[in-house]
Amino acid sequence: MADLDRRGFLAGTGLAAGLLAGCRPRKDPYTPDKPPVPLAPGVRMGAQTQVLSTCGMCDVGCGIRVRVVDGRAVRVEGNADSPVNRGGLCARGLAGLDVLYHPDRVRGPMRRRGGRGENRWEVMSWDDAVGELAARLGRLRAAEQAGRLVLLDGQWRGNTHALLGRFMAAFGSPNHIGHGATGRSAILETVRTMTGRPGLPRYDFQHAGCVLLLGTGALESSSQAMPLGVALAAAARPRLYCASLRLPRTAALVDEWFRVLPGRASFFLLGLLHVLLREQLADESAMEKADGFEALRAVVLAELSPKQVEARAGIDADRIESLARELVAIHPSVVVVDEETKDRSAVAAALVLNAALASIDARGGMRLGADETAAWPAPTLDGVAEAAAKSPAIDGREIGRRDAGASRILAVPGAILSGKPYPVEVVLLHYSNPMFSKPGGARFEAALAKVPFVVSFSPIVDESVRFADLVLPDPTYLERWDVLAAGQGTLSVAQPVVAPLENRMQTGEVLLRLARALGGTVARSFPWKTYREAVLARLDVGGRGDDLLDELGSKGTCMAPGKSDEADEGKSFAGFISVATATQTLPLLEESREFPFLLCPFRDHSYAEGGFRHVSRLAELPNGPGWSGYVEIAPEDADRLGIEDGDWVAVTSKVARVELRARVHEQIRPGVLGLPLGGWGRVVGDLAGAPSRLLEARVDPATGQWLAWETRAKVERVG
Amino acid sequence: MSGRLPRQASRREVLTLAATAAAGAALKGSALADEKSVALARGKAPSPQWGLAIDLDRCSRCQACVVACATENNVLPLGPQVFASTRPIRWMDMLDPGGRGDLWALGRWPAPIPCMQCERPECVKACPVGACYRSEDGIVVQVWDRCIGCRACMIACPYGRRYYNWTQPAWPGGDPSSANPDVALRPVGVVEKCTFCQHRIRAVLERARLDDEPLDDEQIQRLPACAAACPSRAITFGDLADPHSALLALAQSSRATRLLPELGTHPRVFYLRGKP
Amino acid sequence: MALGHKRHMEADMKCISCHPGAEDQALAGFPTLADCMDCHHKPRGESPDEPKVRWYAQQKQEIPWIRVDRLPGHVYFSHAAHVTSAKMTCEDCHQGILQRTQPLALPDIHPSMQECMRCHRERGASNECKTCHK
Repeated sequence: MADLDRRGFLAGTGLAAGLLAGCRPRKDPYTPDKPPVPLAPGVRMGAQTQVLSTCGMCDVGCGIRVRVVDGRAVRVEGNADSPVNRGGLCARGLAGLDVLYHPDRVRGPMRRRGGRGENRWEVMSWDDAVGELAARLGRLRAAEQAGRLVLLDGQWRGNTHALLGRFMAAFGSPNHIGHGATGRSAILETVRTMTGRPGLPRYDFQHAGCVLLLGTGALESSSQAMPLGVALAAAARPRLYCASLRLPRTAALVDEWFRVLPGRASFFLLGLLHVLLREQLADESAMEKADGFEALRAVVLAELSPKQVEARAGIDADRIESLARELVAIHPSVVVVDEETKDRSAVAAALVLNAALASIDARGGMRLGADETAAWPAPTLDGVAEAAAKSPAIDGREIGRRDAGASRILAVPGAILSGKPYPVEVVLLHYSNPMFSKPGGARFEAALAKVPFVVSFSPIVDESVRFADLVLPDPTYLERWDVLAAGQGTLSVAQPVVAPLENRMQTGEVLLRLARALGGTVARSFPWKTYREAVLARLDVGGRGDDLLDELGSKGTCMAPGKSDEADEGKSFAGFISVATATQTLPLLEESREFPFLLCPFRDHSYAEGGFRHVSRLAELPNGPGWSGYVEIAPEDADRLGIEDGDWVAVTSKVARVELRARVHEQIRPGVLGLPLGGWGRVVGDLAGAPSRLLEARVDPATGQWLAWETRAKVERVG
Repeated sequence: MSGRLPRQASRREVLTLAATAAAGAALKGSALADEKSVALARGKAPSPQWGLAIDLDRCSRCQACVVACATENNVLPLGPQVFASTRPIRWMDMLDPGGRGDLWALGRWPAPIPCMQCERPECVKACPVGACYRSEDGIVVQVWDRCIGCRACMIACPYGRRYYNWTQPAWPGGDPSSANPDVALRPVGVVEKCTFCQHRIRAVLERARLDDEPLDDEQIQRLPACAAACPSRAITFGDLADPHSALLALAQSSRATRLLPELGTHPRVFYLRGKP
Repeated sequence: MALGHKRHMEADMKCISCHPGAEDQALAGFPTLADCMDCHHKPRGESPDEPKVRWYAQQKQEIPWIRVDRLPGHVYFSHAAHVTSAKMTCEDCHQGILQRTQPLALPDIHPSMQECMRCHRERGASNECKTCHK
C-alpha cells in the first residue's frame, strides 16, 4: 500500500478515501456513492441534526423539521410545534429536497454570452454582478427614465417582497407588478373594497359545522388546503360541500358536489341568500350600513329566488331551498373562497352570505386578515422618486397604487410591444416566469425579446433564466434565512438546513448591496447592513431581537410580538363598506360551434409555487400529471368523440394546439375540459406544447383581472 | 363507463369478481372477531404485533403519505422515459377502485394502500429462495440481497403491493445527497415493498431498551413516515397485542374492515369507514 | 492526521471521550475539533502531526477524519445495542486498536455475516434478517 508520508499528505485532502474505495473488490449496490461534504465546525461526522425551518413550496408556511446527516439534508418532515400543520406535511412540502438538490440549479451569478436562449454563460462575482446592474439602473435614473425599470414579482407578501417594493419606490419606478391579476387579486381586491381588511381570509374549519367550498382550491393546493386537512384530524368533521365545475381525486370527503355553471357561482350563492332574507333567517347587522345594501336586498328578493336562478346557476331550485336551511340549521356554516376563486362576484356573494350566516370573524367561520407588521420608516424619496408616485405604471393600473392587488400583469406585453405609455429598458423577474406560466405566454415571449435588459433571480433554470441577460440567483427556500408571518398570529423562521450548495445570494441581500451601489436617496432608504437586520427592524422587536430569534430557533415558531392567541383577539367584523360587487357578474362567453368546450384551468394537488415541473416526485404522483400532462373530460363527451381514458388527444383553442392524454372521469361537467397547470416536464425553453399556451389572456377591462373561465376549445383524438 | 383498467387488473379482476359475491357477508361486524387462525384474537401472541389503520373518513387522498414513504425509503423518481415504460414503485400507493364499481369494497374514491403485512402471506409461500419471511412481530420482510427477481411473489400477492426494479434506480442529476442513510438502496432486479418503516420501529425499540422505559403508544401512533406526515392523522400505527393501544381499539371497532377478507390472508392493515 | 490510540490511552482517556456514541447510539462517532482542542490547544507530545490540530482550528474547519471501518449500506450496526445492552467491550471487536501508534489505513474489523450470526446465536440475540439489515 502507499507509504506513510504520502498517506499522511492524502489524509488531509480526503483523496485517500477515494483510493481506498477504489481498492474494494466490487461496488456495493446498496450504498450510494457520495463525495464528502465539508462539515461545519462542531458538527460530528455521521451526526444527525434536525433543523427547524419553514416550507416554501406554497404560501401557507407550514413548519418543517429537516433531518441533516453528515451535512446533507435527507428528509423533510412536519414540525409538531407549528400551529399551522401540527407535525403533518403535504405531498409538496415532503418533496422539498428535490428542489434543494435540483440538478438544474443555477450555480452563481452569470452574464449571458452569445445570443439570448443560446444557454452560454459567463460566471461572475457578486460584486461584478451587482455592479453591472447598479450601473445600468444608475444610468436610467440619471436620464430621468427610472420608470423604465419594471419588476415582475411572483411573491405578494413577506420581507423580500416588501424590500422590493421599497426599492422600487426609492428608485422611482411605479412598475412593481405582481401576478395577482391572474390569481389572488380577485379575492384580495374584493375583500379589501368590501371590508377594508387586507390579505386573504382564513377559515376556522375546526369549529365549523358545515363548509361550502367555492372551487376546489382547498382540496388541492390553495392556502386553505392544509388548514382543511388539519381540521379533518378532529373527531367530528364538518359537513363538506363543494360548488365547482369539476372535482379532483382528492375530493373523497366532499359530501355533495354542486355543479354550478361557469362564471355563475354568484347566482347560486345569492339564491341561497334569497331564502335567508325571505325567511328572515339572515343576520343583516353587518350589511345594513353598507353602500348598495338596499339595492342588493331588493334585487335578491325580487329577481334571485331559487326558481329564478336555477337555470343560470345550474342547480336545482329545491336543493337551493333545502341547502339554505341546512346552512342555518347546521351552524356555524361558512362559504369558503380562496386565491383560486378568480370570480370577483362569487367572492363578493360569498362574503355577503357569510355575513348573513353571522360567520365573519366568528367561531367556525371566516376570519378576515389584519395588517402585516411593517415597522420600517418611510423610504427617503428624491424628486425622481416622488414623480414616480404620480406617473402612470405600464400596466394601466390606478395611478399611485403600489399594492399587489392593483397590478395588471396581462397588460404588460402590450405595453412593452407598443412602447406605451413609455418604453421599457430593464425587466427584473422575481419568481416570475410569465412566458411559461401566464395566459398569453407567447406575447410575453415576444415582449421580453424586445426589452434590452432582462434579469432573473430564479434559483433553478427556467425560461426566465434561459432568456435573461443577467442572472442573480436566489438560493432555494431551504438555504435561505427569513422570518415569516405564518398565520394565526405566529412567526415562523426559515433557516438554511445545509451549507449553501452554490454561489447564490438571497435577493434581500442583493437588494441591499444594489441600493448601496446606487447611492443617494436609494442607499439612504436601506440603512441596514444585512437582510437579517432589515427583517428584525420590520418586525418591530425593539431590543428583543435576540430573544425572538432564540425562541424561533428552539421551536421554529413563536407568537409575533404584541400578539396573543388568535382566538382571544378581539378584532371583530365591523360591517361591510360596500356590497355592490355581489351583483356585478360579467357577461357569459358566447357558445361556439367551432370551440364547443370551456377550458377550466386548475392547480391540482401536485402544484407547488413555480409549478411542479422542477419536482419529479410530484409529477409522478398517483393520479398526478405524469410527464405527458392530461386533460379531464366527462364520459358522455368522451363517448361521443370516441375518446377513451388514456388516449392522446389534441386540445385546440384560438391561440394554440396542444397534445395531452385524456383522463375520462365522472367528476367533471359535460362541456368542460379540465386543464391542470404547472408544468408537464418538457425541456426548458420548449414552449410550443405547454398546456398554459392554450389559455386566452382576456381580461375584465375595469379591473385587469384575468377571466379564467373564458377560453373555449375543442378536443379530438389523435393517432 | 369507458375506462382503461389498471395494469394488473385483468388477473386480479378475475379473482375478485368471483370473491366479491361473498365479500358482502364477510364484511359485517368487527374485523378481528371472525378470525379463526389469528393467535392474536386469542391473546397468545407476544407484544409487539404491528398493525396499521387508515381512516377513510379522515383521509382526503392528498397523497402526502405516498411522498413521505418515498422520501423516507429512498424510492426514487423515474424520469419521463422510465415512468412511461415501467410500473412506478409506490410502497404506499393509491388504490384506484377502477371504473367497474366497487371492486375493493372501499368506496368510489382512491384509497391509500401499503403492504398488507398479511398474517398468512402468499408471497412467503411463493418465494423459491426464501427472500421473504414473516417476522414474529407481524412484518413481512423482503430480503433484498436474496431476491433473484423471479417475481413469483408479485404474482402471488393478491393485493399487488410488491414492486420490481425494472431499471437501476437513479438519483436525479446523479446526486445521492438526499439518500436516507437508514434505508438501503435496492439495485435493479430486486423486488421491494413497504416495511412498515421497520428501521424507525427498530430505532424506537432500541431507545426504549436503552432507557429501560416501556414503549409509549403515543410515540408509536405516528411512527411510520406515512402516519407521521398525514395532516389529517388518518393513519394510525400500533401494537395489536397492547390492550391499551389506539390501534387495537380502531381495529376492533365496527368501522374496521380489511381488504379481500375472504382470501384468508388476514391483513394487518385495517380500513375504517362509516359511522360506528 | 496520524493519530496514535496508544498515546491517548496512556493519557488515561476513555474510548468514549472521543467516540461519544459508543454507549448510547448506533454510530460511535468521531471527535469534533472542539473535543481535540480541549487538550490540544497547547502543544502536546512529540508527533509531527500534532500541530495540525491547531491549524484546523485556525481554519475553522473540522478535521476530515477518514472512515476506514465502513459498513455497507445495507447493514445496520448499533454500538449501543452491543456495548450497553449486550455488555461487550470495545476491544471485543476492535482488537488491538489500543496498542496502535499509527492510524488505521484499512478496516480492522472484517466480521463476516457468519461471524456476526455465530456470536448472536451463542448469546441468544436475534438472527432475523431485519435486525441487522436495512
